[in-house]
Amino acid sequence: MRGHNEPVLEVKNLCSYIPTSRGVIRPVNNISFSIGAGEIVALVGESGSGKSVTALSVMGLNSPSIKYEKESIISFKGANLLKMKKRQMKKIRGNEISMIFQDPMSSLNPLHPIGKQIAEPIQLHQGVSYKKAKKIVLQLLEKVGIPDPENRLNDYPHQLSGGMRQRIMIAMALACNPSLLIADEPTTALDVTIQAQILNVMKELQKDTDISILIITHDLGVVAEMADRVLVMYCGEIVEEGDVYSLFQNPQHPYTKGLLASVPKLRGASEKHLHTIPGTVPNPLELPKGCNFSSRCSFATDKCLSDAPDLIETGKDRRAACWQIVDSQKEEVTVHA
Amino acid sequence: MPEPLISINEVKKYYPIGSGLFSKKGKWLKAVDGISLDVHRGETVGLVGESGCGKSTLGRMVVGLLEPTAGEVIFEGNSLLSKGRNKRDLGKKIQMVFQDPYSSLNPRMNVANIIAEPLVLHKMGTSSERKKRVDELLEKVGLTSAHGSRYPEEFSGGQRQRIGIARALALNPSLIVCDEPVSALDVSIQAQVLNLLKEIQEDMNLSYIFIAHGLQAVKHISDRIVVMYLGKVMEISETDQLFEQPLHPYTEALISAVPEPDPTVRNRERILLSGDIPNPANPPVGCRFSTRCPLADERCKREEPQLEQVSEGRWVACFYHG
Repeated sequence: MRGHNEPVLEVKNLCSYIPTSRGVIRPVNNISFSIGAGEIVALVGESGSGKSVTALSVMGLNSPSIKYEKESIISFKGANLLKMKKRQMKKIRGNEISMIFQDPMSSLNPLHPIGKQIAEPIQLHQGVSYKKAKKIVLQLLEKVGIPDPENRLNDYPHQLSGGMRQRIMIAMALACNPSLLIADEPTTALDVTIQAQILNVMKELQKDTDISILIITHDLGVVAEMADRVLVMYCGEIVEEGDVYSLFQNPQHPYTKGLLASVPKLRGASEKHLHTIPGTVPNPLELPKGCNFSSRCSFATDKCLSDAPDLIETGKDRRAACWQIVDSQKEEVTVHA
Repeated sequence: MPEPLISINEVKKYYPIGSGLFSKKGKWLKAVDGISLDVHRGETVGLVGESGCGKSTLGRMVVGLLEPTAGEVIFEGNSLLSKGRNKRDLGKKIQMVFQDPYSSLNPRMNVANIIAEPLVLHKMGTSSERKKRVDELLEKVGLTSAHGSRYPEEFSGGQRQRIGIARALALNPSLIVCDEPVSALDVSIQAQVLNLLKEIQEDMNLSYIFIAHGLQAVKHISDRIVVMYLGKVMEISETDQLFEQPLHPYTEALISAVPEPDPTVRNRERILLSGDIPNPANPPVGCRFSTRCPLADERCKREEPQLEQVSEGRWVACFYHG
């Protein structure tokens, strides 16, 4: 594990809501976490868990229909990004915090050659000419493993494969030496051998530049491969947090346990029947009254159905939100007393 | 060995490219370039490979959505390529489940009508018999008859995939081609759908051709696996053997590239393929994998290795297989 002295990003009580005619939806409901310098943090969860909304909140790119409760804080180098003016935010976005998206084809402009596109943030934030920026672009292309970069500068996105496009996206994101990179499902759209290449590029770059990475994914394999620390989200809340080794070895929340158990194993003989989490993710307008996971949890008790558990400390660098854990901790205390 | 349910013989699908007025004629994109495969009753054969390998094209030819350029598909002793009544009757026995549960269900039809449509098209049963059949099917896939009157938009991805499966089961098929049926679903829902497919298979003695790029799902559900690359078969093997001891360097790289949900093995030795998948319109000469293969030498760049049997049930197309 790397040392995380001063956190680069600190999210506190992030609470977002969308007022609709049928009620209020809370895509992200009171989450807090931090990312240390040089740390890779993974945000995992299924669709609708709020992981992408969290990422876009940091970037200030959420749709204006998403509002934030006033106690929400996203603090980056001491400043609250949520309170920032648009102009100030523009100076940070793409410069100090940058992002790569799932689909590299739709996030690149099809009408401009890639060299120009990678140079754009450099020209914008450093006020240099294309000629000067080009030098940096060539270095970046080399860094992300594009062969023969000189001749690729004038290529258009459609001339490149999916893997190459994602490398271009990474080059663009790194153009201004950001201190935080947000990667939203960076390899989901790619083939598996290409995914391995891209993950490798990201790891190497992280080692070289000591950048912090927030990686958003639904793939537990990618998490295990990349992350130092893991945040598991469900229905807009963090249900479990821990360093990657202890979380995979000893998941505490029933949802994390269920997720890990439902991945078919690649090693050894195939299991006859896969473990499943029953039911589906609840409708955000009809969340259960107590714990959000109670409707699908096989350990749910009456208490789980009526009260929501808090995210509490469960060990060194571990947090989880489950009554079962709260109760077992209490028992321990009484035994010791 | 009993008669196979379906025999695919040297099937090819070529698409003309650059067939415009001024371009050179005679260039072909060989999406599927001579593939042979038998599927037996009750068996699941997995087709794996990366984009452009031809796995979906092959699946579509089996269901009859695409016509092969050459080769034949024999189903229960009859050629699928014959025209007319016969083809229609054979078609009933082969159904398909699609990848995207959003675009494969008509948003303007209610679920009961979606599931009953194959019955209506083949003029089977009276309307009350069909209604009964729809209720049976809904129950079989883990939904209730009350769901029948609702519309696709009211369902989650996993539930929609169940509806797609119910529709595929309506005509009592013997073979279902599943084209990436779980790729669009969340992890916890994938497991539910995979279990459902297995249960139905045991129940009805169905055969599946299971197309996927996700190796985990394929491994879980398949008895045998066919590994494809740029329109050709690289390796065919019984599932457990394939994962224990992959013979083709491409299979080995493919397995090694899958990120495993276990951080303790993250620093394992792995084969990282360099380069991209070549353009299928312009595949490499010789072995198609030679441009990315760690073992390739001059011979591989000249000569194309043929698919050869190396042991009982194992076929591989490589000069230097492990």
